Amino acid sequence: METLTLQDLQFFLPEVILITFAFVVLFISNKNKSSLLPFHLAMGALLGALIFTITQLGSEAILNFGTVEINTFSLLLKIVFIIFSIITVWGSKDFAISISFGKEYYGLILFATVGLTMLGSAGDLITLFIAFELTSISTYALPLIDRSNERGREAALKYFLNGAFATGLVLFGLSLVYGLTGTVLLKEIVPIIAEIGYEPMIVVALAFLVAGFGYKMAIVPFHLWAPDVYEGSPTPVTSFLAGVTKKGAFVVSLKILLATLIVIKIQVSILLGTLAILTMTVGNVVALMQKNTKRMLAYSSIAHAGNILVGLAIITELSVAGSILHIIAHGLMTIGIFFGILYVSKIRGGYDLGDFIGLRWVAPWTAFGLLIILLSLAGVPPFIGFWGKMVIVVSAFELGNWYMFLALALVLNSALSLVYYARVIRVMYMDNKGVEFNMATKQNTVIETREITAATKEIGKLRTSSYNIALYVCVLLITVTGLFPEQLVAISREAARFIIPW
Amino acid sequence: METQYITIGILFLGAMAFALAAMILSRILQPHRPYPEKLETYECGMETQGPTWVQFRVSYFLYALIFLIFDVEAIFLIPWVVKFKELGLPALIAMFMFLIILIIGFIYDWKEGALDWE
Repeated sequence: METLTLQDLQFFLPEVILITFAFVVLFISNKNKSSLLPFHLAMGALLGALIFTITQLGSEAILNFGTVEINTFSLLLKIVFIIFSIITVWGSKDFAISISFGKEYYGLILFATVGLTMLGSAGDLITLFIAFELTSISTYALPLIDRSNERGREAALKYFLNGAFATGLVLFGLSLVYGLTGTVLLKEIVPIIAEIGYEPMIVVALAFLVAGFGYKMAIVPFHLWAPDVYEGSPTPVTSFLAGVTKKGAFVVSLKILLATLIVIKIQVSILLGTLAILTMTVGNVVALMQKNTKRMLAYSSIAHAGNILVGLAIITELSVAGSILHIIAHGLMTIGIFFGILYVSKIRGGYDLGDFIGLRWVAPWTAFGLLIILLSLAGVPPFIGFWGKMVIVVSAFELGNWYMFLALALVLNSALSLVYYARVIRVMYMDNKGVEFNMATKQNTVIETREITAATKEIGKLRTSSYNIALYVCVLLITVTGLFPEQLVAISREAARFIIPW
Repeated sequence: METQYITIGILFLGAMAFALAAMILSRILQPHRPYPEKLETYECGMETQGPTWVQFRVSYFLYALIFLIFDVEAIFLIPWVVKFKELGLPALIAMFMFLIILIIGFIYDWKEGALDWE
């Protein structure tokens, strides 16, 4: 551990590129609203950052007095988050042109991405907190980025107030950890806590940390803001919030909880396990009752947070690898499906289940893409959504004991979730006459068919819409990683080895 | 070690009991004779005039936010100035990076018209 040398600065190149371009994007002239310049700059910055991060693969370093660590875990997450942002930015091309704050939208996404890339590599509590807050504060304004969207106000306010409150809880928990150990470096906290042994203060600190991160991760007793925010925000923003920034909260909790819970591992395991079962069950059961697909997916996203939490609760190398894998999988699936339903709402006028009726005949490729993502979300084998759950379940079976119960809950919940995912699939592929929801009269059928023909004219223009592109990119990644998962599982396991402190 | 927490716990319970006792006792002991004047909102002894939900212009908040940025900047600058000689070049570079980022933000606000009062 020593001060920064010029040679070490190359590790910060991706972040420097992103920050510089974020500022440049903000200073583009406002005159030409439909200009694609902000889009090209943002994409260029993200691609540049991605390339420089990939060239760093395999290197290991501890920089700047241990506050920044470069290893497989941090590089994997950097690449994953940058790819997520690329897909989101690519998909929001049409959205950003239509709003008055287009360049601010890209600027905020770039700043949030800088925070996310720093999360994985942060080696001390303060860097971790600053990176996390950079992400949060950048995204607070996003739900209201489209001023014409009335519901965005409620979403933005709810997101901001809940987020600020959660930040307070996290900060208080972190200050207790610091007060107990006298250091902010994660590497030093682990041996000191192991030496101190059990101490009531750790329980208090962990309670604050779990509650604070619980808000950010939308885990069940703390999830109430999530459906309203996800439903009220413009859909590209929802896909960024649910698919990308929420995953950041999981990464932070992985790092901090794993470092602090060493003494009371079993108790924390039981606590997180209970929360995970609660989260999965409540998320899935409430999602079952939703008629609006956007709200349904918001609850499904809560349920998936529970799946990821199961891996955190088991706390072995394999289970943490499973969590990382599911973080990646769920990010891809969420981004893809939200852009998919956004496209459907553009051609059919809304997000209700009724708007998906006969989608197969209207937009066959979009329907096919949605089909694959829905199957992947439910955890059907050949896709990436299956492998994350699979690795978590296997790790539970390795330990046996009451962890089997966690695995059972995970599997049962996957089966439960298939009910509402399959409902969308059925509506898309089976019903072409509009016979959903007690409307099985002939008159309703006629109205529905006429709407389809009227909408079909518009589709020609929209077919190459950026929303579709984002959907296809996600479908491609989900299928490819699902068919050849060995590489990704191996790299997740190696990453997990780096953050487990024992 | 445990005893310290017990002290805090007793203090916590004591504080709760005190607050609750004050509320319950006053509820039991107080005479309850309300009339319209008594139930009015108390506002400096004057009668309430006009709607109480006053809205402020959002521009005030923008100014307050920009002021806050410079406030925080000053808080960071003062300790750095006091220890300027000991900290040396690295702190100078770090402080200038910090200032540049803040100033870029300020120029952005200026350019977007946050300082125009209409």
